Amino acid sequence: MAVSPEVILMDEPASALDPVATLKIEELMRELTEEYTIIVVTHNMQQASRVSDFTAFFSMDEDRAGYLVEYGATTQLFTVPQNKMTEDYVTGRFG
Amino acid sequence: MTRERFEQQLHALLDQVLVLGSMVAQAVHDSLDNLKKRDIAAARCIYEADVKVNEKRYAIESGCITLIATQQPMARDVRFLAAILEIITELERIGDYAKGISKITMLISEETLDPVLVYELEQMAALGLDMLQRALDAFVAGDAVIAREIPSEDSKVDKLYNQLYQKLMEQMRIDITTIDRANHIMWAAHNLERMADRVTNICERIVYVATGEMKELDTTEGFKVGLD
Repeated sequence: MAVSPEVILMDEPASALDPVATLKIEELMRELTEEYTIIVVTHNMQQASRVSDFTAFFSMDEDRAGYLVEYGATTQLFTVPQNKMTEDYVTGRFG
Repeated sequence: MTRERFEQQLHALLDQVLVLGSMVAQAVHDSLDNLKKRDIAAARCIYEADVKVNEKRYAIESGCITLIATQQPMARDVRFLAAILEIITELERIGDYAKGISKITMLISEETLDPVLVYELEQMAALGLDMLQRALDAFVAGDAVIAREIPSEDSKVDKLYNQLYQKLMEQMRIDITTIDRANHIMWAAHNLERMADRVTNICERIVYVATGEMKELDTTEGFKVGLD
C-alpha cells in the first residue's frame, strides 16, 4: 500500500489457513477491491468462486505451463464454462 | 481424479427421478382408466397413493441438497442438480393431477359419462404422457434438441382441450342439468392440459442442463380457453 499500487497480486493468500482466518482474508480482499484491483492465484475452486468477479483458468501441456484456457465472469465460468477443459477442472473430472 | 463416488450419487439421483416419473405417468394413465370404468375403489387407491409420490419427491430433494452441501458441484453438475429440483416439483404436480382426476371419478360415481368425451380425455392423456416419456428420455440423454422440440406438441393438447371445452359449454347451454357432470369433465380435461404444460417446464430444464441457457420454450399457438 505504501507505494500506492493499482493492482495487488495475491499468490495463494489463504493457503494452509484455518476457515476463520481464511474468511478474514477473503473479507479483507473484498474491502480492498473498493480501491485496488486484486489478482488472486488459488487452487481452491470454492474460494475462487466466492471472492472473484472474473476468473481465468490456466493449465499446462507438454510444451508450456500457465497457458490461458478460459477467461470470463465468475458466475459464467463456474456454472456454464465454455471450454471442455474448464468444465472438467471445475467439476473435478480432470486427469 | 474422476470423482467416481459423486458420479454414482448423481446416477442414483437420476434413477430416482425416473422412478418418480414412472409413478406419476402410471397414476395419470390409471386415473383415466378408472374414470372410464368408473372404478371408485381404484380411484381412491390412486388418490391415497399420492402421498407416496410426495414422499419420493422429498427424498430426491433431500438427496440433491445433500450433494450440493457435501460435493460443491460446479458447471454441468450444479445445473443438473438445480434441474432435478425443478423437475421433481413438476412431476409431483403431475401426480397431483392424477389425484385430482381420481377425486372427480369418486365424485361422479353415479353419473353417466359420454364415451366420446372420455375418449377425448384419453387422447389428451396419451399425448401428454408421450411428451412426458420423451422428455424424461431426453433428460437421461442430455438431449437439448429433442427437449426443444417436445413443447410444440403442447398445442395439440391445447387444441383437444379447446374442442372439449366448447363441446361441454354447448351441452351446458342446451341442458342445464348437465352442468355438474360437464364441470367435472372440464376439470379432468384442465388437469390433463396442465400436465402437458408441466412437461414443457421440464423440457426447459433439460435445455438448461445441456446448454446453460435458461429461457421459456414457446408453446403458444392459438387461443387457450379456461384458466391457466
